[in-house]
Amino acid sequence: MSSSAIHALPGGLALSAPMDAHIDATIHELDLQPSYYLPLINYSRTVLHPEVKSGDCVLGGEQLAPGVVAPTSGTLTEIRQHPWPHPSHTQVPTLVLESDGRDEFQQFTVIDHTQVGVEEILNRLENSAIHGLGGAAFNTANKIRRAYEHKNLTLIINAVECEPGINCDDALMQQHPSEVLQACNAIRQWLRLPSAVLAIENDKQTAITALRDDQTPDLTSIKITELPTIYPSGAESPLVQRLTGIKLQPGERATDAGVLCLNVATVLSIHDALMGQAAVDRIVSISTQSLQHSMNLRVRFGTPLKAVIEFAREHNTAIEAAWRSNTQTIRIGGPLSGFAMDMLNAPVLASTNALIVGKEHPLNEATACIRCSECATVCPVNLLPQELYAAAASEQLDTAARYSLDACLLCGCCDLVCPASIPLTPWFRFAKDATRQKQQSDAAAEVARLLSEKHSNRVQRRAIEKEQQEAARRAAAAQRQNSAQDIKAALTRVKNKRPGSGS
Amino acid sequence: MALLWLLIFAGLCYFIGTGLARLGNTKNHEDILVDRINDCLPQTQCAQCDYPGCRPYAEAIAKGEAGINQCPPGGDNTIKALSELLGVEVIALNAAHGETKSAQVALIDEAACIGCTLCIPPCPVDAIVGSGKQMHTVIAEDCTGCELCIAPCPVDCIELVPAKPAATAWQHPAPRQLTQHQS
Ligand code: SF4
Ligand code: SF4
Ligand code: SF4
Ligand code: SF4
Ligand code: SF4
Repeated sequence: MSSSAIHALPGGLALSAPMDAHIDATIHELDLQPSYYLPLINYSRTVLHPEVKSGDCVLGGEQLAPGVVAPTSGTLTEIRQHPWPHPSHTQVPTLVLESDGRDEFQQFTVIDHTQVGVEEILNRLENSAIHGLGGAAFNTANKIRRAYEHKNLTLIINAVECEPGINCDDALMQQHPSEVLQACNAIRQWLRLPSAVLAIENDKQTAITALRDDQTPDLTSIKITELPTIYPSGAESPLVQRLTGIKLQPGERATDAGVLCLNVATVLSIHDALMGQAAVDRIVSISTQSLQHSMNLRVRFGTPLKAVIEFAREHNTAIEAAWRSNTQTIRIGGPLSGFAMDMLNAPVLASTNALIVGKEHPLNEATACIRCSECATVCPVNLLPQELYAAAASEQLDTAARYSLDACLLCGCCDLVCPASIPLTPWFRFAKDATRQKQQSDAAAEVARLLSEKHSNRVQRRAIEKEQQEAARRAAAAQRQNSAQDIKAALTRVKNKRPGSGS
Repeated sequence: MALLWLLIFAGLCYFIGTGLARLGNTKNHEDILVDRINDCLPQTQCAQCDYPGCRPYAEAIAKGEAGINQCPPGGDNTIKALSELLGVEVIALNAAHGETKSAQVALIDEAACIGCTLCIPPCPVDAIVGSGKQMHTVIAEDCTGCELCIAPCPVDCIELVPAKPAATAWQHPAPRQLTQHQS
C-alpha cells in the first residue's frame, strides 16, 4: 500500500506492547479542575517573564507569558515556587490559575492561509503557545520558520509512536480520523506542498483502517505510510532516514535538510490555533508498569498529575492495583524515554505524553563491559555505545564528542541489549549535560577573559598616565626649584659682590 | 680588504639577527604556554590563588612558581585540565585557597545603595555600572561572582546569588552517583 520505498534503519529493536495488552483507546475527559499550575520556564529551561500579575482575571487562551496560555478562565492567585514535570525534581516560579468555573475563552479570528502571510500565521502559533506534543515540546512556530525557508520542503506527519506504553496518538487517530486528516491537509495546503506523508507503525491497524476508511474528500495528497514496528522509528533522524534516505549529520536538524516533521497531535493543535480555537490540552496515556493496561485521557495543561492519576485509578482497576503496589513515584514518559517523578502536584505540560504507575523492576547490578558489541548492532544511528560509555565514564568529553555523542538519540536500545547491564543511556545523558555545561562555562570564561584584559589594560594605562603626569609634575617642580635656586644663587652672588658686605 | 670587512659585517649581522629572532621566539613560546594555561582557568579573576588574577597565576605556573591546585573556582576540572596540559599529576585542591562553590553572581540591593562608587574599581571585569550618588547595578551576564566588590561596600548592600535558577543549572548526574544515592 505504501507509496514510496522505506529505507532500512541500521539498528533499533522490535518492541511492542504485550500481545494481550488492553489498550483503552476511548479518550476520557477530565473535569474542570479548581486550580491549574503553569510553570514559568520553557523546554530549554529558560525562565519566562509573566505578562500578567497576581489578581488578574484571564480568559482561556489568553497569553500569560511567552509560550504560556491560560487553560481556562479564572483568576491568577499567585506566582509561587512549585514542582514541574522535570527529572531535576526542582521547583520553578509557577502561575497559579484558580478556575472560575465558567470556562470562557478569548475569541480569535479564523486565519485564512490564502489571504495572510506566513509571519501572521507563525505569530498566531507563537501566541497560542503551540508546542510539539511528541515529547520534546519544541516551539512549533520556530520549527516551521526554520523549515519554511527551504525550496524543496518535505512534510512528514509523525504518527509513528514507537515507544511501548505511549498510545495517545493512536487513540486520537482511532477516535478522530477525519479531523486528523483535515488538519494534515490544511497544513499541507498552507505550506503549498503537493503532498505529505503520514508515517505510522504497522501495529496500529485499527487507526490505519480508520484513516483509510475516512471518506473526507481530497485526501489523496496525504500518503499514509506504514512502517515496520521498530523502535525508535519515530525519533526524528531515524524517521527522516527511513522515509527520505537522508542521513542527518550529528547536530543537524531535519529542518536543516528541508524536512519538516510534525507530530500528528501537534498538527491538530496547529489547525485549532488557525481556526481561532485555543489549544490548551493534550491526550495523556496512563499505563501500568507491565504495559498490560493502558487508558487515554484528555488533560488541560497545568492539571496536577495527581488529578490525572486519581481519574485513572477510578476508571481502571488494573491501574488502581498497580498504583497500590507503589504509591510513591510514577514515571513520566515511556518506559525508555521517561523519568521517575515523586512530586505529584507537578502539572501536565505539552511534553507529558504518558504516565506509568506501579513498581519498577530494580536495575541489575552493572558489570564490566565484555566488548560484545551488541550495543553497536542495535544503535539506530550507527554509534559505538561501548566507546561512548568508556569516554563518558572517564569524563573524557572530547573523546565522547569524537564518537558523535551529539548524534545519540538517548533511545535506550543499547541499554536493553547490554549483557553487562551497563546503564549506557544514563551515562550519555550525563555526558551530554556535562558537555553543554562545559561549552557554556567556556564561553562565559572567554567573555570574562576579554573583559578582564580590557580592565587591566585600562588600569595599566591609567597608571602609566598617572606616572607620566607625576613625572612631568616633578620635572616642573624641579625646574621651578632649579630656577628658584638659580635666582637665589644669583642674588647671593650679587649680594656677595656688594662692596662692604663681605667683611 | 674591504670585501673581508664586508663579509665579517654580514656574518655579524646574521648572528645578531638570528639571535634576536631566537630571543623573540622563546618569548613567544612562553607567551603561548601562559595563554594555554590561562585557557584552563575559569577567569573568575577572584585572586584566591594569591595572584591578582587568572593570567598572573598562569604566568606563575608557567615559571614553575605556583602549583596547579590553587584555584578554587576552577576546582577539580581546572586541576584535571592543567594536569593534562602540563603532564603532571592530578592533586587535590589546596583548601588554604578556599573551596569550590557553584556559580554565583553579585546582586546590589538598589534601594540600599548610597552610590558611593567604592565597588567599581575592584571589579575585575567592569560588571558594575553607576556613577557618583546614583544607584549602582551589576550586569549579571558579565559578573564572574569573584566577590571582590563585597568587602568595599560600606552599607553591605551587595549579596551573591546563584547564577542560574536550580532548574536551569541542574544536570543529569553520573550513574555511579545514582547507584550510590539509591543504596
Ligand atoms: S541511546 Fe544513543 S548510543 Fe544507545 S542505541 Fe540509542 S542512539 Fe545509540
Ligand atoms: S553491549 Fe554492553 S557489554 Fe557489550 S559491548 Fe556494549 S557496553 Fe559492552
Ligand atoms: S583563583 Fe580566581 S584569580 Fe586565581 S586563577 Fe582561579 S579564578 Fe583566576
Ligand atoms: S560585580 Fe562583584 S562579584 Fe561580580 S565580577 Fe564584579 S566585583 Fe566580582
Ligand atoms: S559600594 Fe555599595 S553603596 Fe557604594 S555604590 Fe557600590 S553598591 Fe552602592
